Amino acid sequence: MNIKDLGPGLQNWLDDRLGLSAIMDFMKKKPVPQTRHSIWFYTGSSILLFFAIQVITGFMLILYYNPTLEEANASVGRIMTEVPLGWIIRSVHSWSATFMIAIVFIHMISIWLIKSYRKPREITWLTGVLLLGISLFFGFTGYLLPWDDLSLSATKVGTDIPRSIPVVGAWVTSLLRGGEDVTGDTLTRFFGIHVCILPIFILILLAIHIYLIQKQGMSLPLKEEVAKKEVRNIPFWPNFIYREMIVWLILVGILFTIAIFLPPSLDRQADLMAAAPEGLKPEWYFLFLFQTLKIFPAKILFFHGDTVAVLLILLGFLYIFFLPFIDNKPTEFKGKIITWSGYAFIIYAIIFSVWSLL
Amino acid sequence: MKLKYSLFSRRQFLNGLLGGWVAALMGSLVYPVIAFIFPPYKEPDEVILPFADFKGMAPGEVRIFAWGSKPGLLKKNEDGTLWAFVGVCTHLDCNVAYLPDQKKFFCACHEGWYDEYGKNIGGPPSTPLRRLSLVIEGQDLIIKKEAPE
Amino acid sequence: MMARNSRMVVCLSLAIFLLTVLAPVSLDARQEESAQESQTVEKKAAEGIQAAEQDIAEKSQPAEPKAETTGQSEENEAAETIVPAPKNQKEAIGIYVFLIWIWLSIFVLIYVLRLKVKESDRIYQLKFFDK
Repeated sequence: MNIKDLGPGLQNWLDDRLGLSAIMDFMKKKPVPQTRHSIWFYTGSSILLFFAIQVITGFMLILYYNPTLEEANASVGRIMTEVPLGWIIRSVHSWSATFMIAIVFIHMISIWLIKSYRKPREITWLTGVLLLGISLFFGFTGYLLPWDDLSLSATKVGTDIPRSIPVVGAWVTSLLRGGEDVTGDTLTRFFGIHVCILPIFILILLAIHIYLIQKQGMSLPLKEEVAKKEVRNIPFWPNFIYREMIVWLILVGILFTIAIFLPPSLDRQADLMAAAPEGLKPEWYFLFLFQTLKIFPAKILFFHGDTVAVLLILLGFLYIFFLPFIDNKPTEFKGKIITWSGYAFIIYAIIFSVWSLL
Repeated sequence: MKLKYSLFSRRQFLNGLLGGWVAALMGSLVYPVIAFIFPPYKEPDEVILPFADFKGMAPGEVRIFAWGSKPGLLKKNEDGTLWAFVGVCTHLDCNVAYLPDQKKFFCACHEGWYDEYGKNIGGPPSTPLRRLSLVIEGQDLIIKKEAPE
Repeated sequence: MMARNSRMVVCLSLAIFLLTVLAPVSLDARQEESAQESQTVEKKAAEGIQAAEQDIAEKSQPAEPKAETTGQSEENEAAETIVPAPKNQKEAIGIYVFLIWIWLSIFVLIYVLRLKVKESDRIYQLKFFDK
């Protein structure tokens, strides 16, 4: 037995039992089209990279975090002061959440604009929008866990918003809060959702999403498909993977550097009886929604301003969710309007986010 | 000394460099993870107790104090001296009890026995109970880790 | 030419990405500074008014303890905020060394990966594996 035979020997042993060579052959043959828009293909695996970082840092943080009202803030404080390099792990977890959600938005917008959701990729889009919702919910539940004044108030505001929905509003709010108000029960609930319920759902949806992408192959932008020209392809393995690794390396470098130089601090434990702190604002990915709610007056005709705002936001979400079915004639003028609505969404989100900070 | 043939091809060199450096990178990330996951257990360097709590001890009496997260045992011997032990069995870390009528320390987990001075006399323990040093300064009783002799 | 275009797109999207991520942080800092400035301005105004009203002893007395307690509670709040930092100089230097190692690795690996990309593209063009 030569040591050189060890690698191939192990590979053959596994292949005889798991049939992995079928997967390798598929990856070597899978074509990745190289067009003007192929740059956006890198967003998908980048999301997976940051999600993996979240899982690993999350595993580490959960070893020390105490999800009770009395100890939550103190346990995060211990992670930051007593556990070796704890402040870096927490900082990486916090910044990786931001990076992941940013790239999820970029991923969705890019697919919206090049219309990759056309037949047969509608279910991929639907699972994708649900994945966006889950990612945002991850961020929302995670934000409460340090249990300081700012996160408590942000959660109070955030869980109060569904109350404006007619009929089911109060029920949704009490479901989120585990009661009438934000209390220790809310913390327990959010912790369970953040570390157990959402991970299971995101894994199921990711499995469906990624399976569909492999089964249906990479999409072509509308122009190339219409022109029916020959498109240059490169194999997924190893050509595209090498390119993806370059992107991953740069992103990890930026993440570590930012996490070390701009780590989040921890304020003192939340006081359930205290007044809301000044400068209250949610995480950056909710800022545009926050501002949208703020601009509506208290009453519009017979309706509460809040109710109108929340219903408009829900309508917007449903529009995005059902986009493949709304955009049934992508090559015609209606398709162009839907593309413009994508650009309009970007501009609206950026302007309203910046506005809410001023 | 010039070699007639290369030891490895340029492709092998590049592949080796890539694989090896990636392995080194992953290895360097293992250290912070390990350091985080295995936090250092900190025993206190010293514990300061109010002496008033332990003034009225009868000879042969044992009282418990907190030594970090372990129990500490303060024993007043027959000759009036005070000794302090870490009240944890040297076999497998169970908390020991003092049986005053037998004048012995007993560990219920595997029936380990120590005499009244902490020396292991029966059962699985192979070393005596750990002793701590005692100093009385004014109102305070200061208990420190036993200095090695 | 494709390489140049894609490089521009990469730089542009990286810039936009960093802007969206870092803008809230920087704007937030500026907001805090301006809030602090307005606070100090208010304090100075309050002190000025206090000085003018010192003739009227009854009014100045309740005003002063309030200013003191707010100052104290601000100090308490500042002390209760945990600011993350390395524990000692050795840890700080270790972190900088780690960061330099990470970026060095990134540059070396990207150099090697670019060579691998060119190699794998060439192999694919030659249709080396299709027989």
